[in-house]
Amino acid sequence: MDEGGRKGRSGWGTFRDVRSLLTGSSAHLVQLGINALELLPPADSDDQSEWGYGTANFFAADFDLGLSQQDQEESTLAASTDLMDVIEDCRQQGIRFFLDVVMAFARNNALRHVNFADFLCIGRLGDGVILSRAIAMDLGGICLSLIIGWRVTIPLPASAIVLYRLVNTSSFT
Amino acid sequence: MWVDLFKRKQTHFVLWRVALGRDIPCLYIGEMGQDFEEILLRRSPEFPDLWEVAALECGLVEGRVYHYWFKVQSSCPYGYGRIVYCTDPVAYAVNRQVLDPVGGEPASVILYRRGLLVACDPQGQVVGEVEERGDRFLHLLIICLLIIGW
Repeated sequence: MDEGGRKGRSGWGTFRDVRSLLTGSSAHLVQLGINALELLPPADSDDQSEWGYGTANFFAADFDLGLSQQDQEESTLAASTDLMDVIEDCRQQGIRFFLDVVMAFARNNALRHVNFADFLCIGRLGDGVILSRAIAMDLGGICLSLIIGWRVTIPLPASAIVLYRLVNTSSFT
Repeated sequence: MWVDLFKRKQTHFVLWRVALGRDIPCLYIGEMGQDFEEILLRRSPEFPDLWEVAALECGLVEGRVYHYWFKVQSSCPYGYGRIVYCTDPVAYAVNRQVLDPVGGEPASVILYRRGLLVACDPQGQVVGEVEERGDRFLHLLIICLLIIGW
């Protein structure tokens, strides 16, 4: 086995950082008066400091967003429990939690090894492109398809909050 | 008859729809700081597409956190036929500080407790359940779309 060498830090948008916006004196999300919260895809990805796309493990919370450093030596690895705490905080505050699952940009999913032909297909290759994978689910099971697409990296603002005001959202119950 | 993969996953390590190569897929499992071992998966007699091994047959110790991969022959065109250790495609948690012996895939993580495979974080924190609650009907929904990893 190899040590991945990933180190924890806080203040860059971990699940615990999100919690700090929901509770206590800095509960800014609550003060804004929102009643629903949608995080960008919180599932596990190879990427660090990205938007959460390029999911590798759809059923696991993002490892890096649960990684926080307590001191020089020890890190806390708590992605699953931290994400669940975010959801529980939302419920305590009367805020609905929306899960964002983006299957169109999966990357390095283990199924590419397990059974490529069943779950993936190959798109076109060209200069300047890297692999991305589109995954679609149907009622009968899971169908993954592989496409080749341009990788677009958008610079992140220090803190980006987008508010949507949806009127007459009768479909949300 | 349904496989009910996620119910079965409570008692078995399961791998669905393996593209068979020359070798039988196996579970590569162990505790951190100790030796890992390979345990062959078996094809389910009920579901030919399902490979599995019961947790009870793996010699796991009560209350311990295990890291594991599935060792398979890769069906990926980019490296077809090579032996790889892949993360459980339906892992509930992964540890990216622990990578597989050859390829850099993160470890899948699970806790063994009272004969069951329980979702947990790498340091053993068990994921609780959020109680189902009927939310009131909202005519006005104000959503905050929050970027994480800012």
